[in-house]
Amino acid sequence: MTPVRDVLAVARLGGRLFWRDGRAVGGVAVLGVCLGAGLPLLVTASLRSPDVEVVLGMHLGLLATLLTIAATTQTAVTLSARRESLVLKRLRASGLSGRAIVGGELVNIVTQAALLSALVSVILYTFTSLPPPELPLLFAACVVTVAGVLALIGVVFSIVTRRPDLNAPATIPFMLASALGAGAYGPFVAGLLPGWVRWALDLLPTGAMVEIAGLAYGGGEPATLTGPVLNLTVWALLALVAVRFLFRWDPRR
Amino acid sequence: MAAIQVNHLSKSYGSFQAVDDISFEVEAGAVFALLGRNGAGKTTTIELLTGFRRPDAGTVRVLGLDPIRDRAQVRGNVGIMLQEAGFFPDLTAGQTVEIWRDFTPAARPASEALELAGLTAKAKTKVRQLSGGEKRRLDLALALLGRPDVLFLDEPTTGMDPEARRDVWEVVRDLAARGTTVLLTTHYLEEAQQLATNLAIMDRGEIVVGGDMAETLAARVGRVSFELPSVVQPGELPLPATVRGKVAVVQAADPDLAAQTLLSWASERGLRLRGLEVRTASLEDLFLELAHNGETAQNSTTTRDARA
Repeated sequence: MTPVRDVLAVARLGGRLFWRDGRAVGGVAVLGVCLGAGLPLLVTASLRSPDVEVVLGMHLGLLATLLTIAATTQTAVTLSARRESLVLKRLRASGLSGRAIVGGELVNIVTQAALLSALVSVILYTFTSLPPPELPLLFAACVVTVAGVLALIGVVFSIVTRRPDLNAPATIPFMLASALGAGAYGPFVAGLLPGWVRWALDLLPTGAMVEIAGLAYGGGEPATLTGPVLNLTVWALLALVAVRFLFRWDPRR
Repeated sequence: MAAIQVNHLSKSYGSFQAVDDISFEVEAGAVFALLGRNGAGKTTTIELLTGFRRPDAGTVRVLGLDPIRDRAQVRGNVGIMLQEAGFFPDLTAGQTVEIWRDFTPAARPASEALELAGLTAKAKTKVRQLSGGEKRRLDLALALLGRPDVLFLDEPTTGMDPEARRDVWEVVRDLAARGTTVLLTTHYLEEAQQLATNLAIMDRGEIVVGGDMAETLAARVGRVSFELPSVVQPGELPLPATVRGKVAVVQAADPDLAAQTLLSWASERGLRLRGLEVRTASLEDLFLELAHNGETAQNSTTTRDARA
């Protein structure tokens, strides 16, 4: 079988398992919609004259948080559960390569994260003053790429967290930092942070996401993409190197 | 041609030597039993043969290929039934096999794999509701899915009832008759004796006995046991015997001849040898003998170390 077909077969399996699990789908969908759309709707409704910039800032900050949960946490938990239940080992006993197994899981999770992002965004376009992005393809590419990088970081979390039951909690500091850096707590909180903290938080993949998505919404020079693209590339490479050398197929005994 | 070739293979985990310089070959179409106590190195050997682990030293060839370097080619032609591997508990047995067909080149129809493994009746049962033995059968169905040339079975019948075990034996015999090479590990020595034409017994990572099953057993002594009549002293018997409680045991290369000698001797004296049992050497005898020797050797080493 071709590598692409193998990746898609694993992704299809992951998707099938996810969509037939009503609780998982409900949990992710409810959490995602409440966080990504409900909160901006609530804040917008409370403002006398909602400024598009404020809504956009909240949208991007919460989208970053949502992507971190849907990609990083979800990947860490899924891979860890598959490893502990020896399913990864069984998959590896089939004709599948290691890359196809991990790649397929990532394709499935990135697809879920992208669909959730699209749903949340469409709700906001419909019920707030936020207009759709001027460069929709750039926005879509940004969401998918950032979800991919965040999912790769989730793979690293699944490796380095020694206890499988702590996989989800272990990603919380990363999620909170991403949310803070992306402006999910609003411009007032971001303004309180020391300069070096803001600089450090901007180095997270979600910092790059806010920059690229901001460009997609407002339009601008593609040249300004160099920094964020480099940021995402470095994160992806670091994660890939860690996965290449540290990935475990068997549980720790 | 040998389907599996192992040359001076070694593997250690830290200071623990799991496999220590073992060599053997398995001819195409043969059933080879890899036996030994828990921790003897059987599963590590299978994991090395299937490319799950990289050897520290030595070489492995499966169908002439290196399981690590030529992983994709090897995996495409072998079926692996691991000792421990998980399933998706919310899928049914049928769905599990159907999904695995996506990962398996030239796969059998799911119904055929389920039938071979004797799971047709459980096709619509969720994996979480299957018994331990039924899960092993599902494991077997997945291993057989790709019509493998070489089949690795790590304790294939653990948890199965006797009938299911015999069904699996039939499947293995049938596959071997059609040219599939089978390497199996098992703790059921009867199973190994029933199925395998060749064997290797491992102890502490080394092969302590290996070769053709029939020849290996023929080289071992059989035994005749009976209740020693109360009027007879062990020294009066026509053959040397060891007595444990009331039971006398005579070990002999030809146990039938020894039994005839004993019966003639008893008949001449008007005695009955109650509970007479004649046994040719079995794999179990050989295994227990090796285990006993191993423990003795280990104890003497420990004693020497303690004195030193």
